Amino acid sequence: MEASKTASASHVLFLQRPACSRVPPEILLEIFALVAPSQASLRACILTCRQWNLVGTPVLWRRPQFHRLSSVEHFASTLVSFTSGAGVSHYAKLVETVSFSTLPEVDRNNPQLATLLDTIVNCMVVPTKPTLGLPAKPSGRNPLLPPVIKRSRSLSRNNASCSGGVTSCDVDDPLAARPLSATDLQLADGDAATIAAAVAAGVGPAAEQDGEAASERQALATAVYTSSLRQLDLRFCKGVRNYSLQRLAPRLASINVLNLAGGLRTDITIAKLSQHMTDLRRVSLAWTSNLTDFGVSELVQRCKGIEALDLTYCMQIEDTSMLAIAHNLHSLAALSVAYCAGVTDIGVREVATRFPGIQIINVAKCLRVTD
Amino acid sequence: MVVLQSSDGKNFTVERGVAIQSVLIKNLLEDIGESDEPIPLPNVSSKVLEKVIEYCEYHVDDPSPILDDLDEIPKRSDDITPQDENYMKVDQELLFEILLAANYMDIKPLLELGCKTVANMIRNKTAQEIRTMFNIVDDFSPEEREQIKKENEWAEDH
Repeated sequence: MEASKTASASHVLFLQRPACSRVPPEILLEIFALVAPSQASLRACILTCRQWNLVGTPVLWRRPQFHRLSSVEHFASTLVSFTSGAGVSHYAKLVETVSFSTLPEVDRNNPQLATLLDTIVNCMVVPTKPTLGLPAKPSGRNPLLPPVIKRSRSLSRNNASCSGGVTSCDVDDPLAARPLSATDLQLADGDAATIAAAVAAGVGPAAEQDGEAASERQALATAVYTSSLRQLDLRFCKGVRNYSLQRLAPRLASINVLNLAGGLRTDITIAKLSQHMTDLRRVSLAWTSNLTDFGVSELVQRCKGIEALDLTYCMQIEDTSMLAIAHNLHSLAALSVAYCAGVTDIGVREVATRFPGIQIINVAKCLRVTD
Repeated sequence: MVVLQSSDGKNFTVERGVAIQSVLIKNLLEDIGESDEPIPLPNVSSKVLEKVIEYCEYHVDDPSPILDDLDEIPKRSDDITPQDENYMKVDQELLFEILLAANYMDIKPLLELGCKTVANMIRNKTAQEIRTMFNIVDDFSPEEREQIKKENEWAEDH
């Protein structure tokens, strides 16, 4: 009796509070999600009171929008000020999307953007122990090398002849599923600096290629990163150079949605990124004039879960890319090869028959594609 | 016909089709079957319930909303019909009361309308303007407020 009295008394008290303060968090969330496109308004919300701050802060930090380079700087330095020793700050844990697409062009081309991206990503990652079973013990190294080299040869042969056989030998290749393989050997020259950084404590960069690849594999095995980052939008961000992006690659492993359109990316960069970003679902490499069939093949061999791929205006790609796409991806739902003059009916048919459920293939302005 | 009883004991007799737009009442009716007994709504005052019924009467012929599992598509708040906009022209206390009632009675379209209306009111306002508009009590300490301001300075638009 006593208890029910107090309960109803507190209920009456609760009902006497202004209606606005009785709004439960899930409804506030709904409201803030609607306000979110106007970032300044959402910021005003989290400055009103503690409850709104608690609910609104994760919404604001989930996908920050930047309209000037100075706000990126502010954002990065706020993250840095919260990063202390080990562990990721509560703010850094909230960030899911990093996008520079709303910056003006001059800021997107500013080389400082690369440094800022580096800072942001480094504030977000947590190194985790390597999973057991990865080639961490030295005895596992040597038996691995012969197939690595063999695959390297088979790849370059396929590449040179542009035959459709790229996948027939790779599908069953156990190495295809490994985080590292043949391409490291191929990339070793262009990538020497990256490797040097990665193996600073190990074999020097002057060592022969075999040793280099092996120690890089070892270095990688000890550096696996997790992060809350899921989406990265660097479209037309020429300020973030390929070199910086390649160096960041291991720290970007958690990304599902990647937009690198118009960023002057190269095959090597794509190959390097796809080694790490194996969870990719949606990728745009549109307006990448340097991209060739090699880059596309590397990408689809590593990231088989890609559902949407935008290759609009990648003028150099040909049917080999289409075949690689058809044979490697298993859940493709949308593909654009519009303006890809090298793509012909053969490639389009291959993709279309392989994915009967595909929703969109954009082949606009493909001169060599008939109906 | 269905009888609904507000927290202050007033009875409202409405058509079944009007009442079952509230999923709470729909489920209740399915549970207890048809009955002349009034359904008590202890969280909803007569003033609010009247307003909620007004909405349900307007929208009695609406097709049931399409279930949208497309979370990716950002929801918009600029698609309120003039009729709904007019309906929502009430003081802020009643607005939030309607929101709470829609939540309690599980009337999704009304809840969405309420959220959109509030979101539209918040847009382009400063923190102080929002507090004044909705009678929000500023419970930050001065240091706390300064700290939060600083941490979120990057989000400021100029």
